[in-house]
Amino acid sequence: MYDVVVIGQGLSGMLAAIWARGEGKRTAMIMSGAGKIMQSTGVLDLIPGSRGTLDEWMKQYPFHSENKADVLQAVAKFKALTRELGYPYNGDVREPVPVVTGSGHIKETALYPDTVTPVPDRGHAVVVGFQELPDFQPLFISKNLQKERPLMTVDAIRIPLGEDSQRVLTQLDAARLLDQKEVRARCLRRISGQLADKGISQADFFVFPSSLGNEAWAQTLKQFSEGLGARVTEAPGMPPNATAIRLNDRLKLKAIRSGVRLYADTTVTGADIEKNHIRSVRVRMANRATDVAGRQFVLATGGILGGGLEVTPDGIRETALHLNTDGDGRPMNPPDNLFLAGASGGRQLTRHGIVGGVYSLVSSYASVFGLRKTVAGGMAK
Amino acid sequence: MNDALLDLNMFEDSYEKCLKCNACVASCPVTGATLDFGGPKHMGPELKRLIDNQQVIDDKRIEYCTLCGNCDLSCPEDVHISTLTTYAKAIHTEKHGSSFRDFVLSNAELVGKMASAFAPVTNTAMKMKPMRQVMETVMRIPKERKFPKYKFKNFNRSFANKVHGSKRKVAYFVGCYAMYNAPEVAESFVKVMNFNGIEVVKPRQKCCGVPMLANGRLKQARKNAAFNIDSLLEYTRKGYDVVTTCTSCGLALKKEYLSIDGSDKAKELAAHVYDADEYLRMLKDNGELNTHLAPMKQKVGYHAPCHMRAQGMGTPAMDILELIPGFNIYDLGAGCCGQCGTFGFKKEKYGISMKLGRTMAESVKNLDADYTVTECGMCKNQLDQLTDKEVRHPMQILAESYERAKQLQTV
Ligand SMILES: Cc1cc2nc3c(=O)[nH]c(=O)nc-3n(C[C@H](O)[C@H](O)[C@H](O)COP(=O)(O)OP(=O)(O)OC[C@H]3O[C@@H](n4cnc5c(N)ncnc54)[C@H](O)[C@@H]3O)c2cc1C
Repeated sequence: MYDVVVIGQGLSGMLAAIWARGEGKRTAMIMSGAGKIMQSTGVLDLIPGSRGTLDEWMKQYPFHSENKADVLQAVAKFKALTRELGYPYNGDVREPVPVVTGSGHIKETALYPDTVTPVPDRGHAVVVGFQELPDFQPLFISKNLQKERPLMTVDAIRIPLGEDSQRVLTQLDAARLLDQKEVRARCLRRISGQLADKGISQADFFVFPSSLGNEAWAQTLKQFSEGLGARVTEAPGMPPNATAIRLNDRLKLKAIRSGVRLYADTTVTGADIEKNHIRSVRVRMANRATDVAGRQFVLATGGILGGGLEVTPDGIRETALHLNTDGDGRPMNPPDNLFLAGASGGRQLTRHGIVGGVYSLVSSYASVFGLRKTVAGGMAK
Repeated sequence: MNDALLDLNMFEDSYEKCLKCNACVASCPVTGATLDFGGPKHMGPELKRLIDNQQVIDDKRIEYCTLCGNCDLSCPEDVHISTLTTYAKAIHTEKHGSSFRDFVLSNAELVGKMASAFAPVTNTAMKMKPMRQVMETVMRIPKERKFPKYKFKNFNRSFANKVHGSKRKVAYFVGCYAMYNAPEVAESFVKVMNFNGIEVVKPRQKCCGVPMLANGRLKQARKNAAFNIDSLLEYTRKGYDVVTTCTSCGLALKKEYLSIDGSDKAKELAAHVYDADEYLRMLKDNGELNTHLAPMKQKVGYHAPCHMRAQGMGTPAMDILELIPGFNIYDLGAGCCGQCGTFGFKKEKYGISMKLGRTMAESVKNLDADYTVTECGMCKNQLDQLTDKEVRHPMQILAESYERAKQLQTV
């Protein structure tokens, strides 16, 4: 018997589990697989695909419009957690900033780690690619960035990381190589060489793949920005982005070390619900099924993208607990001990395809702490 | 193509769901430690896509896969990655044959029987430098690598089935490690069951097959699976629950047999198999557990074996040990230990094994507990090699707590 059973291991599920455990609750997390955070960019958007403000966000997402202070409190709690995990996030949800992505386009985001630096309007930028890394094409990226930033001078260079490999490298592989001081020093020498060849004397912004070190991201950031005498940023694109993997791995480790029990590679296939109250959920693993009982449940199954909702010819089906949903997949009259976190709340949350990290974190916070005393929910209260 | 290889071009179409999202690649311990491995995405679903209904491809890079299963845990699309890599290993071994070393390492049971019969000699020999030098030169088994000790008084010799008709009945799948190396684990398990009034029998059993799968000896693993399935079903059909103290054996019976055997009998068996701590937790949830446990004021680090995590059951060892008053247990969260069964005994893998192990050793050091607890004998081997803390199985701790409680009562 758990106090809290969280279904889903995405950003929403992990935050809900960590926070519930932090409140002293015996907590389980049940998941079919990793959440979309592993494929994501690692920056947390307000309204993905749009330059929306916090006011617009508050209108679009189902929180009461007076709750801004609570939203800010949730964000502060998230930032404090990332500091504790040694991977601090910056930013202000009231003032989203422009960042460059792995395609060279610019998008606005609200919260981002130290390895991501907002793009300036002007100046001299250099996009640096690694020869062994096909997922990050500096020339293509520089041209897109140039279109977005006409007042900027944008150049592209490409250097070898110079390590033998038996596989095609990913951004995460490159990040792990850059964890080594010698590899970083070698890269810096090669960058200087290329800059000299191209006659670039002073650039003030360097755009890298999402690879600026994995464990040693802080050292990489320091060595590169000092060595180049400029600001540097990761431009996350094709997964795995080190920007996102660092957050994912740290959240997961935090959950484990704080005593959250993980039921990995399993699927919730139903629930024992009596008088609109969940007693237990049915958990399937290979050819076995067990019931996991709890007092409170958090549905963080990620909506359509995460597998928690399935589009069928007859409408949208909720896959884990078989709840009745409205036309957008939002559970109708959900059980009284169930809290919805992240994209599981239906299609109206994912109008732009994904829900956005800010909603994930605020709804997870709300499921654990409640947003306002007048608002239903918040198991800690 | 010969028939043997055709047979290995097995039916498994879950690869079609692969989105190439790289969650498995990012979660694979070996991929993180070396660029020599092709990685789970490439060696699993991508390789399968290349060979499905085509000529099989033998790719040597598969030797680096340890079958830890972390890829399966991370896959958001439920691709059976480790099943695919199991087959890639089988293809490789079928084409190249096993080296003498891999043949020996994968024969845990035979080695166990022989080493146990000559236990004092084997254990001494394994500590002799010239002997180890020969093993390194001839068999490519690194001389620095510690080996588990073998016990002459193995569990086979010490245990006799006693049937007294308890309500719950347990058929114990002992596994090679508790049988030949750590009979104290098996004996503790029997004690714990007896403290709960549950009779234990030891069905006829062979090695679960996991070391064979890891060395590409799929056919032999299938034979062992078929034997074990038949032998254990005789008991489950009489109302016995099958319980394991080794998390790799547990995973084999619950999950691997479904993919390498796949028969209805394999499915029938899987539904009756429990990990020992999982079994006790189930008893507790049903109000049947003897909770008369003596306090043990200890701070303990828990190392979760990969094959425990792959069973999708939470962390039952911690759930159960936390019932002991005064017992403080913390999950080290160390990930893969790097021993990975037979992998860490191989010279050419030793560097990777040590690299992975160092992360674990660091977490043991940082926690600085009284001792470490883990279910897996191979993880224990790596912990013994890399840390100076004692390593115990959960059953040993529970048995001790029950026994002390009994002593306290009689005093
Ligand atoms: C390619 C990509 C890029 C992205 N980039 C950004 C970005 O730049 N900025 C941003 O803010 N957001 C981004 N996101 C979105 C973000 O990462 C998450 O999608 C969002 O936060 C939703 O998270 P979630 O926790 O609600 O669900 P998910 O991350 O989808 O997690 C769902 C979880 O539920 C589990 N699950 C589902 N059904 C069951 C079941 N029946 N039983 C057990 N477990 C189940 C799944 O296994 C999974 O663990 C991106 C997403 C993707 C895919």
